Amino acid sequence: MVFNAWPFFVFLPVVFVLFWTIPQRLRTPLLAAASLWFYSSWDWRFLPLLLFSCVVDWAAGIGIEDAKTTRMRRVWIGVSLVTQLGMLAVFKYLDFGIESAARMLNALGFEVHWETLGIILPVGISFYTFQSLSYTLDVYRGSLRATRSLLRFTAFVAFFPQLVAGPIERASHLLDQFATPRTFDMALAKDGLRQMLWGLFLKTVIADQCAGAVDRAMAHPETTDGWQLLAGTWLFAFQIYGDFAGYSHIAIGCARLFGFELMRNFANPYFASSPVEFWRRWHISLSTWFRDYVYIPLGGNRSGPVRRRVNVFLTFLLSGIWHGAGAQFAVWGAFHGAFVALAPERKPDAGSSRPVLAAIRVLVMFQIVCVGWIFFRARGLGDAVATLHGIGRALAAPDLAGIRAAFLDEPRHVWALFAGIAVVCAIEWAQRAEPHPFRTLARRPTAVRWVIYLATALAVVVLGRMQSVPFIYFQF
Amino acid sequence: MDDRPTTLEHPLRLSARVAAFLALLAAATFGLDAGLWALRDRGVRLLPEAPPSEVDLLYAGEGRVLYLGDSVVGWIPADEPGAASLGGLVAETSPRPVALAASAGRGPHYVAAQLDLLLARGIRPACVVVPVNLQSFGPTWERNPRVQAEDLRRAFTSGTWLPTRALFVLKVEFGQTSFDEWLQTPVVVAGRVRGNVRSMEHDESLPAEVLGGRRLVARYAADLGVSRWLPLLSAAVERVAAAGIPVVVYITPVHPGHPSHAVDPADRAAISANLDILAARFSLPGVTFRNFGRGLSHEDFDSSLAQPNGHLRLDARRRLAASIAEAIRAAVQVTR
Repeated sequence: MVFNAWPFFVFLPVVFVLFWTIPQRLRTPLLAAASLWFYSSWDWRFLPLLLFSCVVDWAAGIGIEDAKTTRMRRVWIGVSLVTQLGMLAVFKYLDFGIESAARMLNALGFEVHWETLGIILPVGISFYTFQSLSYTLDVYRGSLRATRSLLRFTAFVAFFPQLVAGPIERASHLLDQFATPRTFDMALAKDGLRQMLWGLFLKTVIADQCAGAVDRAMAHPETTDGWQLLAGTWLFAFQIYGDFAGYSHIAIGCARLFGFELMRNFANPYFASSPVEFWRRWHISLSTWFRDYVYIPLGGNRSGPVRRRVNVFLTFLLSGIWHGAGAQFAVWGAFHGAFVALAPERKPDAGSSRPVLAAIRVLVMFQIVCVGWIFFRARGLGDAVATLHGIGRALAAPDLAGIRAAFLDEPRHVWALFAGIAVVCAIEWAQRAEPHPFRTLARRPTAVRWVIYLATALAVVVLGRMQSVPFIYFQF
Repeated sequence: MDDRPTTLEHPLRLSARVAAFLALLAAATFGLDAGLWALRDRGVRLLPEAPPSEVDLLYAGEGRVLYLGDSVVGWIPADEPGAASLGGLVAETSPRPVALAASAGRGPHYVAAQLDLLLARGIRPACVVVPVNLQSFGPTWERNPRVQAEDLRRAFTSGTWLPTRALFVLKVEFGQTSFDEWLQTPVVVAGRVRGNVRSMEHDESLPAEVLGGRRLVARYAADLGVSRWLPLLSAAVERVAAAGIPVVVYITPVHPGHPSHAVDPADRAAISANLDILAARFSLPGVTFRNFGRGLSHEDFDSSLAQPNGHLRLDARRRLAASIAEAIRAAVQVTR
């Protein structure tokens, strides 16, 4: 069940009405049951895996808290880490490992014919394992009390709005919300609906429409004109933003209908003017997860500037590997790691007194991010190198016909995509102080609000893509 | 913990507002749709995809010979660069200007929807030409989920574009056959199950002549009794003819098989019986019917050993085009 398909538009109102109809004590069980049902609608065979993950970390949390000795606490955190990371290793990386090892041995002259196991990646496993791990790690650190309620813990890990693609919540933020009686907050729920509408627009109109043009431009990088590759790369930057930020907006808005607050996941990342700032704005829940549970335990910035840079690099490398089993993801992580590690630390608002300089910085930063997206989007390193090579060739010898064909390609409406992106950027810039662009509509007259809601919904109907385009982050 | 249910006032009020908004959205969608169609009737297009460009092909048929169909109409063999397609050759010899509205992979259900849209929008061609491709009524095509063009078909049939589009944006798809289900569809010839689509059409491991022979049987000899598209198309043709629009229906040439295909005589008889069924079905009042299904040699077709289909080579296209032009002439004269 995906957020932009009709089953969800039946599921959500039913759960919403039931949730606010039943007594408080039944609400967490309802959310847990609804979430498990939501997850099983993807593939019921992976439901036991999710439940197993919940039970192990719930027990580990209690085990850590009740342990009388440091050794027992370590044993329990070890159980949690081995279980969650083990699940990730088996389901996400085992086939890749087998394939890579066989390729390497063959390259060294050994003749091996190892078959991969054909393991299917359970949807959302990277997200819920990390969310669950954050709980046991916080309990281990002593910054969080363990919950005794398995039901509440299951509801926290499996909470359907953010189960399959985040935001990756912290127990300290979300788990307690399940323990607190929920009272209906009209303003919060309305704002949630507005945020969902914006997310749906980003996904169906921007991301999905860009997807077709990106697929065409990037399918054969060796033989495609460099300007088309450049246009495809820029469009992919907005495809992945519309896709993932759209999903996050829908998730956060959906949780608000039930009175829950999820953390912000995107804060206008393409307005960042430095690598550090970009990562404060992009996939915030993952960036802060790696900061808190990898970078800081590695030593953070406590051991001098050189060690800090090494720690930053390693953290980003791991973040890249988290995204997928493939060398291109590791390179993507390393690429960003190198930039963040080497970039001078600047305050986010530095340069704001000189808007032209700030705009140039933002544009340069966007191009750096796009170079990273080339690796992220590529099927392998070969494709990424071919794309970079093609773009480099085009930039070295600019040709007007090529530029026109790539950016004003009339039959494919590439120009219309860029126009739509410009509109989205203008809206997000105008509303950059808000967590989502539709928040300030609450202060507008009713007629203005409804016209904007209607226009946005009509845009989804008129311009939304009809073919199925899966959410990109569901594959991670 | 407070165990009292929360008052329903607010959640229900919000639900009511959402319902009101959705009703308004539906009204706006239908209203905008009606406006777009009304403008389209006057030759104005505002949005590139609404209504879709394939509607333009039908509007272009106003007062002309509107030639529908699938790739058989538009096919030009790779080794005949610069040559005209069958549609182009018909246009050269037709007594009236021809508007081509044929697209590759479009089945009879789509053609039926095109015919219904002509009537719904009041488009009156001088003549409508409907090729009937026997292959398209078999399980290899009729059940193939990849060639359904379901969004266009629904939009054409219902006469609405944006509401249909909205359903597809939100992935409202009922009863769609999956690719795997399609591969399991049985191929029934003369009442006997001969295999399924996977074994008869998709087993690429077979030698070309064996696969070609199987495909020939699956495509042309499969029983027509289970076809959903056959009654759909004949009924649509009947409606257009009843509206006083001259209609030419012809059965497209059927590939007779390569000598190495070694087709069983019983299978050949089944193909022949199918052609008779089609002929009986489309010999309708007010319809100029021609049966070109038989009589061509395998050398008249531009198809590989493994892919017997209805794509013709130039000489055969020329001969067929002359016959189609003659049928158009007859149909237009009859109506006068």
